[in-house]
Amino acid sequence: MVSGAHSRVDGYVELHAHSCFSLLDGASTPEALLDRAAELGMTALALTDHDGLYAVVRFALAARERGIHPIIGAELTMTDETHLVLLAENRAGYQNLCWLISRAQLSQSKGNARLAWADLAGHTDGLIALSACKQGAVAASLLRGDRAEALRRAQELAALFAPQCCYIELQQHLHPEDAALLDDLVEVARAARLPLVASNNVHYAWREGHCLQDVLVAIRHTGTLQEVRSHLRANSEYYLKSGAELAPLFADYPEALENSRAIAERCQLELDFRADAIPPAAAETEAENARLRELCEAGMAQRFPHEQAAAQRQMEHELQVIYKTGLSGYFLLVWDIVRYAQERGIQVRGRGSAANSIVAYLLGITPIDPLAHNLVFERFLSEERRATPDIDIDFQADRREEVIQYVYQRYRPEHAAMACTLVTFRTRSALRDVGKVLGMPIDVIRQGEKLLDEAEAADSEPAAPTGVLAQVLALARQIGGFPRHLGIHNGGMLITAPPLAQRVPTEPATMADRFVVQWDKDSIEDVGLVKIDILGLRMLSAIAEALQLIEQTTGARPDLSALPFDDPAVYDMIARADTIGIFQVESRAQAQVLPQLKPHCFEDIIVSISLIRPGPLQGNMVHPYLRRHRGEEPVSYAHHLLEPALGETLGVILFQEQVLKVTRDLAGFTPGQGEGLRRALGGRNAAKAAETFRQAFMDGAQQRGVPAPIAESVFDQLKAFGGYSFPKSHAAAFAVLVHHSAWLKRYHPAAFYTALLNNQPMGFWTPAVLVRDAERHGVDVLPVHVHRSRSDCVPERGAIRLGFKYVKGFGEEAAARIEESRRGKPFASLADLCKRTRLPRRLVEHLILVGAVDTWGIQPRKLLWELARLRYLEEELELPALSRGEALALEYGILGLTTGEHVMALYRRWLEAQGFVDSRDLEECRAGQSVRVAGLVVVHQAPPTAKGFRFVTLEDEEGLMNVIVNPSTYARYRRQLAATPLLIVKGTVQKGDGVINVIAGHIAPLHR
Amino acid sequence: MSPFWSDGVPVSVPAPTDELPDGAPGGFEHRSRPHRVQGVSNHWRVHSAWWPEALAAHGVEVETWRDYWEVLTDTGLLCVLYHDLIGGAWYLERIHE
Repeated sequence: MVSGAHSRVDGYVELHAHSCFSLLDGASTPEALLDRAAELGMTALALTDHDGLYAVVRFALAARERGIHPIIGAELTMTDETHLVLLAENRAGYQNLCWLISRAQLSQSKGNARLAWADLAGHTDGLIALSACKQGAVAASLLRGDRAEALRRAQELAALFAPQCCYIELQQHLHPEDAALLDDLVEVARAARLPLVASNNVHYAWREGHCLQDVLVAIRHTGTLQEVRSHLRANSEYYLKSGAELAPLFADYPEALENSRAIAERCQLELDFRADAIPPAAAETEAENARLRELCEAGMAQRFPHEQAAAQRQMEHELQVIYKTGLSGYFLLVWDIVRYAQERGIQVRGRGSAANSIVAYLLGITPIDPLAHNLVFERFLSEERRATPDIDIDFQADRREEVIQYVYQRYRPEHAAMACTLVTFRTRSALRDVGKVLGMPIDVIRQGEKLLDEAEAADSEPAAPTGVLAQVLALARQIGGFPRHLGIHNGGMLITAPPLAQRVPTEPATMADRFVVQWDKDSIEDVGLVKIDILGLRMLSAIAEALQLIEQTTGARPDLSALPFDDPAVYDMIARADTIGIFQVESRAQAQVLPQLKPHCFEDIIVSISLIRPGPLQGNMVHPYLRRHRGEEPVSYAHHLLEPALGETLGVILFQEQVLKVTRDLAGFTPGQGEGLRRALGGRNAAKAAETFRQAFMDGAQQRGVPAPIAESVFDQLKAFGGYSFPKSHAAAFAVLVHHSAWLKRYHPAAFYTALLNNQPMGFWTPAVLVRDAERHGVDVLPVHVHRSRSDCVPERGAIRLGFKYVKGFGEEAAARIEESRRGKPFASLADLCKRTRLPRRLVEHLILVGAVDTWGIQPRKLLWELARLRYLEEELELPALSRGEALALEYGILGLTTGEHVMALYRRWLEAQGFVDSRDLEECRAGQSVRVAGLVVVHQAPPTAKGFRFVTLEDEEGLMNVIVNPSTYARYRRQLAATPLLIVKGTVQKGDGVINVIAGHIAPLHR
Repeated sequence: MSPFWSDGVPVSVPAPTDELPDGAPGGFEHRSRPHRVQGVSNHWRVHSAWWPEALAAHGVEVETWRDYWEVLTDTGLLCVLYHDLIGGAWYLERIHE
C-alpha cells in the first residue's frame, strides 16, 4: 500500500505549464521548465502557453535532449473570457488544436485571441480537455457561488469531448479559497461523472521565479508593482512541483495525481513533418522529374553555349540526387517564383547554399556557375544528409510585394504564410521596464544602464552592484531574451501541400491582410517543413533602376548577366577602396581591408566579403590571411591534416563549411556531428553548446595522432569563429552583386548614384556621403529645382538633379502637384507657384529654404517674406541675405544633405589657422604624428565584435577620415560624441597599407 | 500607504500533534493561558511585497512570506495564527468572536 502511494507520487506529470511564450505571464523559458522537470525526475511535461504553439518545437527538442516526454498543448481563452486547457493526444488532436488556435486568432484582432465555444464542436477529436484554472468555466461559476451553472458547464464540456477526454482540473495554491473550491470541483466532477486531474498551473520553474512573474504582470499592466498589486499572485506556489510536494495538498483525492500520468501516457505525438515536407503537386513525381530535366536542358543551351560536357555531367549527378531525395517539386516551386519575377522584369538573385548547385544555376535561380568557382553541390544537398535544403532568393525590394502576392494567389493563403520572428527583450530595454515597475528613480535606471555598457565594453561582468540596483539588474538579465511580441519574418514563406492549419497555427500580422504562422524559421526547419526566403534587397532595386536609366539615356540596356568577371578597371577601383555605394564592400571595415587585399579577381572579392564577418574577425583570421595573401608570412597549418580543408584559404578558417571539413579531417567527425557543431555555434548559447562537442573532438584528434595542445587550440579557434560567417556559396552569390554594382559605378556613375539616391535608405552610407562621392567622381549633384526636379532624382546632362523626395515633408503627391501644375508653363512668380500648386505654406517654405525656387533672381529671405505676405499682407522690410552658414545649416536641416558647398568649408579658414589638417592633408601625415582633425560625423559604429571600440567616420569637403575611439576614451567623451554632428578630434595617426586612422585622444564639439 | 497584511502578536507555539497537518501549530499561549489546537479549518500562504516600495511601506527589510492557519482550539476559540517563514516566529493575528 505504501509503495503504491509512493509510485503515485513519483509518477506525477505536470500537464499545465506556461513558459515565457505566454507573453508577460510565464516567467521561465521552456528549457528552464524542462531542467526543473529533469531535476524532479518527471518523465513527461506538458507545455500549455496561452493561445499559441509558439514554443512547441523548441520545447519538444529540448525535452528529448533531457529524456523527457514532451506533451503539446495550449490554454485557450474563450469568447466569454473563460479558459480551457487542451492537450494533443495524437496527430488528429494536434491538427484540431492548430485549427482551433488559428480560428481563435484570426477571428479577433491581433494579440487578442478568443475562441467561441461553438467552434469546438467537431474539432475535439484527439484532444484532451482540462477544465483549467480559476478562470475555467466550471471553477469561475463555483467562485461566483453558482453551483447549478458550474454543473451545467461541466456537462457541456463533457458533451464536446470524447468519453474519458475531459477532466476536471484541481489546483491548490494555498489561497484562502482554494480548499473549498477544491471540494466543490470534486462534487461537480462526481455529479457530471468526469474524472479528476491535478495540476499546478505552473508559471515559473523554481519558487524564486515568483518575483520575475510579478514583474512581468506589472509590465503587462503598465504600472509599478505597488500600483498593480491587486493583479499579482498572492504567493509563490506556482512553480513546478514534484508529486511528493503536491501529495499532501491533494491528500483526499489521490487519483487526481495519478491521472496526470495516465493522461501523459496517452499523449503520443511526434512533431516531424519531413515525410510531407514537399509543397503542392508532389503526387506526380515522375512528371515533375521530367519537367525539371526539361527546364535544366533549356537552361544548358543558354548558360553554356559552348563547352557543355562538364556541366552536363554535373547536371546529371545533381538530378539523380534531387530525384532520390524527392525534391523535384521544391525546385520547380522555386523556379516558378523566380520565373514569375523575371517575366515581369523584377531583378532576382538566389543566394545562400543554393549557389552550390548547377541545377539552380540552370534554372536561373542563382547567378553563378558553381563549377567555375569550385563550389560543391554536396554542401547544398546530399543523399546522406536528408535535411531540407534552404533556398534564399533576393528580389528588388520595391517589387518584392508583387512576388509575395503571386505566391499567395498561386498557392492560396491556406497553404502559404510568412514565418514569424520573435522579437525579444534586450537586457537594456528590460532594465528600463524592470526599473519602472520597481518604482526606481530614473538615475538608478541610468546607473544600471551604465553598468551594462561597461560590462559590454569590457567584455566582462561589471563590478557587482548592491542593493536595489543589483535586484533590478538581476531581473532584467532574466527577462533578456524573453519573447516580447511576434513580428513578421523578413521574407520567409512557409508553403505546404496540406492546409497550413494542420501543421501550425496562423495568426494575423501587424500588417493588414498578412498572416504569420506561430513558428519562427528555426522551428519550421526543425520539423522539416519547407521554407522559401523571399527577401527584398534594395541594391537590386537600385540596379534595376540604374539599368533603366542607362537605357533611357543611351538607348541600350547593359546585360549584366553576360559581363565577364575580369575587368581590371573594376578591380582597381575596388582595390583603392573607392567603394562607396558598392554592395557589401563599401563599409568602413571593408575599406580598411581592401587596400591590403588588393583584389584582382572574382575569388578575391569572395574572400573580401567573407573576411569582414564577426566569425573571422573574432577568430583573429583577418590579419594572418592578409599577411599570407601578400606573401609576408608563409602559409602554415596548425597540423598537416588541416591542409586539404584550409588550403584554398591560406590556412585560415574563412568559410562556414570549413568547420565541417576541419572537424572531419582532424577529429574524424561524421557529417552529422560536424553539422551539429556548426549549428551549435550559430545557435542560442553558442559557447556552452559548443563545449558539449569538445570531448568528442579531443578524442577523435587523439586517435589521429594530433597532439592535445594543437587539438585544443584548433577547437578554440572553431569556437571563436562561431556561426557568424558566410558559406562560400553565399559569398560567391553576393560577389556577383558586388561586381555588378561596381561595374555600374565605374562605367555609369550618374545612373548609379541616381539609383542609389532613389532607393534610400540602403547600404552603409548616408545620402550626404553619396552626394559627395558622386561629386568626387565628376558627377555634379544639382539642387532641387521647382522647374526641373521630379519626385525622384533624375540624371540631367551627366549630372544628377535631386528630387523633391529629398525635401522635408515632400511625398509623391506634393511632387506630383508641382509636376502637373508646371506642365506647359513655368511658374512666373512665387505667387503664381502658390496659386497653381496650392501647396501648404510649410512646403513652399521648405522649397525656398533649399534653393529650389532660385529661378526669379530673388533672394530666399525675400521670398520667405513674400510668402508670409501672401497670407498676412504685412509691410515689406529690407532684410539682410542669409549668411553662408545660416543657408547651409538650413539646407542641411531640411535636405539631410547638402549640394554645393560642404558645411566644413565654412570652418576651414579658422581650422587652418588653428593648425587642423583636412582629410587630404591627413594622407601626407606620418604614422604616430599628433594631429587635430574636424568634420561632420557620417558614421558612428560600435560593432559587437569590437570589444567596446567605436568607429567614427568624419567627412569634410575633401573626403572621409577614420577615427577609432577606444573604450576608455569613449567613456570619457561619450557626451561630446553624442552632442553634435560636427566634431573636433585630437589624436594620433595610424597608417598601413593605404589605410589611415586617427586614434582619438580627445574629442570636442566644433562650434564657433 | 497601508501595509498589505496586518501584523500579529508574537506567541510561542508547540509542535502539532500527529492528527494535525504538517506545519500546523500545536497550540499557543495567549494572556498567560494555553490554548491547544484541535483542528485546522483553513490554511493559506502569502508570499509577496518583496519590492522596495512595499518594504518601505512595511518598514521591513525582507518580503512577506507567511503560512496562515485558521484553527479551532480546545478553549473554543476560532483564531488565525501565522508562521513567519523567513524569521521562523509565530504570531497570533486574530481571534474571531
